[in-house]
Amino acid sequence: MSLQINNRFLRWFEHRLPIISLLDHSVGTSYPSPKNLSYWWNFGSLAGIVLVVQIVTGIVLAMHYTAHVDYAFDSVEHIMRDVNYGWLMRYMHANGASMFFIVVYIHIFRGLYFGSYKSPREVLWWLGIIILLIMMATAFMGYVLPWGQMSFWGATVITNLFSAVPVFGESIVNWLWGGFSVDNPTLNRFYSLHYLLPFVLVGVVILHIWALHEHKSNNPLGIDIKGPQDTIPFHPYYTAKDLFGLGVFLIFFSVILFFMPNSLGEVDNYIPANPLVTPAHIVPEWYFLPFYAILRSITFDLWFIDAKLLGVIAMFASILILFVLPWLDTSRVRSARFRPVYKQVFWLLFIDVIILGIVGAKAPSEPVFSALRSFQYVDLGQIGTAYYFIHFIVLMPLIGWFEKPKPLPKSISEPVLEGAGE
Amino acid sequence: MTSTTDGGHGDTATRRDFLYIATGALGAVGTAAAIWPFVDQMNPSADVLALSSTEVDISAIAEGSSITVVWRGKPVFVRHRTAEEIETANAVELDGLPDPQTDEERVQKPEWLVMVGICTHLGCIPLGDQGEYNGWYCPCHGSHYDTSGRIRKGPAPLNLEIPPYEFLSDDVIKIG
Amino acid sequence: MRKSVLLFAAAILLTTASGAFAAGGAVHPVQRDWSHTGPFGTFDRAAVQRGFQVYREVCAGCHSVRLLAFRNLQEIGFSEDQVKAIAKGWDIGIPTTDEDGESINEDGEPITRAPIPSDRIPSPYANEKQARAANNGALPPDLSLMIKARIDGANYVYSLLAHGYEDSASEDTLKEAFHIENTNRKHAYEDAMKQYDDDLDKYQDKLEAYQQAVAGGRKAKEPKKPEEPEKPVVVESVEDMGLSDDMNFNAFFGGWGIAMAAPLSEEAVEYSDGTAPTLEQHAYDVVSFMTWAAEPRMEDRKRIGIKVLIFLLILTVLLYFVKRKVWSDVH
Repeated sequence: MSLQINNRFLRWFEHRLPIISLLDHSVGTSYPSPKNLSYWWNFGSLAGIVLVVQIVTGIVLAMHYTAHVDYAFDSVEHIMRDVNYGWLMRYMHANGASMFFIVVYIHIFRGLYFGSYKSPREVLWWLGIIILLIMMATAFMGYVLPWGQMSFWGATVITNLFSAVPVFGESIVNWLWGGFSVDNPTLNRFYSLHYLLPFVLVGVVILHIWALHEHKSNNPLGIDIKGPQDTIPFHPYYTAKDLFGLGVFLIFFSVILFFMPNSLGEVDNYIPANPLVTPAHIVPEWYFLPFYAILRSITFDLWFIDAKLLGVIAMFASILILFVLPWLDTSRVRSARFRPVYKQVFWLLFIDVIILGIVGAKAPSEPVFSALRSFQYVDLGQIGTAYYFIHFIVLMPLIGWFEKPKPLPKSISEPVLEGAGE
Repeated sequence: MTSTTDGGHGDTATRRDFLYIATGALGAVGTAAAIWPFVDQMNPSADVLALSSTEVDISAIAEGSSITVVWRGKPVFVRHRTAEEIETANAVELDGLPDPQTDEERVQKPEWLVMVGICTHLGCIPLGDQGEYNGWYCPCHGSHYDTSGRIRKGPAPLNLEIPPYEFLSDDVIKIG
Repeated sequence: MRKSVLLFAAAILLTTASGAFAAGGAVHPVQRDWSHTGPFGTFDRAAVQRGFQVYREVCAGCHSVRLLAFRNLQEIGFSEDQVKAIAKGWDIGIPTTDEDGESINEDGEPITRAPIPSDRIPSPYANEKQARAANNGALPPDLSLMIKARIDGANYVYSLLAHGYEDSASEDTLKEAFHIENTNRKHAYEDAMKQYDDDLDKYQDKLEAYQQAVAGGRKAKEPKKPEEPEKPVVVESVEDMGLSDDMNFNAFFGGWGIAMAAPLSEEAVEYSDGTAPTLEQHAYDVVSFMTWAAEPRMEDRKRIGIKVLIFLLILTVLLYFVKRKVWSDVH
């Protein structure tokens, strides 16, 4: 399907800069997509839109924010109180970060469920993980900027993780801080990087979309596109569907933004940073909680590696392991719809991550059940962490080998089943 | 698949077009409304606006002296003029002035001269009680202002600007 | 399977969430009806104004509201002239300089001028050291963001002021506080006893080794016998809490001891609008004021939010029909 441009000026322009056909091939009538994509496929474009919202509100906030330990907190309150619609910009940006993670986490779990990471989409998947890592770094540094208690102590705790690195630990941490504690130099460099990284993110997102277009979207059946009868053009079908999804998402976002804008944050961050007083519970933002739980669940040394370093390794490994997932999963079938055992295990992983999130929010020594005081959150966290890694390292290969998948349909457009699977 | 752009079936097509146009229009209105906060945030904020007027107590300014107050980030000269200064200012022939203005046009009460202390040439701050006309003198490029703050000699094109102000009482003026 | 899995997750969530409050050393705040809660909630102007009066006459002696400017008071219904008068009559001046650019007068005191509406409300103390020196070493926190800086802020501060001190706490509140403290002490004792048993075992082993060494004529250090943890005092009164002398009991304050003595009482402030000056009323009013101070743009936020939601609902319904129309020829 090729694009017809009727307007003379646009034809003139297109001849000199073929941007219309570029768009048409990216998100227009010339981009064929599987015809059976479900609403779980909305979250990719949604993530892109949230990224734009974050960049625009972020640039606005930067016009009023002062990156100095003496003024940062007050400049944020100046935005909240005196700048025209400043409260809106600030709440949009702060809650937008949470929205970004909600959308991206759903996007990732969708990929896990329908096997979107499998051949030939491994590089697409890698780029997605890189996006997640950049997002995390950006969100972490952004949270430091208001210079509240949780900003300061969160920054202190997380940057201190690097002191676990053998030999060079202390040098690395001093290098990160630009001093001997989290202070003005740290705030300034975090501000600089927080402004830079989103644009790097945009670059990786473009690569992510590029890789997507090479082999097109996966689909709920997880089978390849066999021919034009299996596809429909992205525009108007998926633009319409994505816009409707955007509307639903904006309603959800607005409810939080306008009526409970502080529900996802920590109250301690409304207290100005005080390097001499540590809050009772240092808790990261909700989107980091599962990883924080993994970090804290390592309380034992292993061979020559001490617990602190091991915790840091475990935390990073919990994300980095996703890079090798395409090879840990040995199944030839993509979609969990046709993988009865994996389907169950997928939901167990989902619950495991939720539980790890709860554990991350609690004090480690707090008992899980008031009736059983010896079973503490740190114990639950250790079980959860163990299961998390067992899922990827043990279960994924084993299930792939031993599971008998259900028969796959012949093609997307023909619901006829193709004999008996394997 | 069939194309969606073929128009075709009379009644259904109109209804469909109406739906698309209505949705598009509503979306456009919403987008425009959403853009406004992003524009408005660059306007002066509430704390800046609160400083847009300054109240000055003039009771302590002796005759023949002046004070400088800051208004909207700019210096404002408030001078308690002597009878002699007022007389000199009124005696000037308007014909030869670069920016002809009577003294009356420049003051509300003759003894009080209130003006923005920025040279109309290139924005330097003129010095008081100086220059050939016993008014103000700008050291940057040698502009001379008289006792009414009018430009008399030098490169400046206009008289010193009079800010909006009012007398709240005999002792207090509100600038801005 | 999926359902049962989700149910299981929900169950975990519930059990863990319900256990959350028992652990801390404070009673769960009393829940009050506020005009500012809910999607349509607005500030009760009269209460906020009275609350400002309470702040000015009672709290302002020690606590600042440094993020508020006098001009903000116009937003809660004071007229421009009233605000000017309030600013001019404020006890504490704004540091300034005289004609010679000096900021300190001949007596060595800072030169000040009367505040004007565009000024922030001045703090009672010039700096943290002065504040601590005047308050037994404790720092009275700034109140501008207090309501947002505490969980369930409005109810928490209200409970603390009106129902938390020994004289104002209800029987039930005291009972609950004692129960929580006793449970915490019991658990701490149990943990200490477990540790003690372990230590005792280790001590026995060491003691044997020591005795053998002594019998063999070798030099050895005599191990120290671990001390048995003391049984905790059962709390039946505020005294049993064992707070230090400069601390006041408050059932809603973490750890029970607060440096601030009960600041409000019946008729602490005389209202000009005829509202009954009860302790609860004072607390309600000052919390209303503090809630406004913490987020003066709240009403704008909710008002715009309602409009945005209505708009989005209509647009999304239309988008749904557009989507259906577009997809009507796909099978």
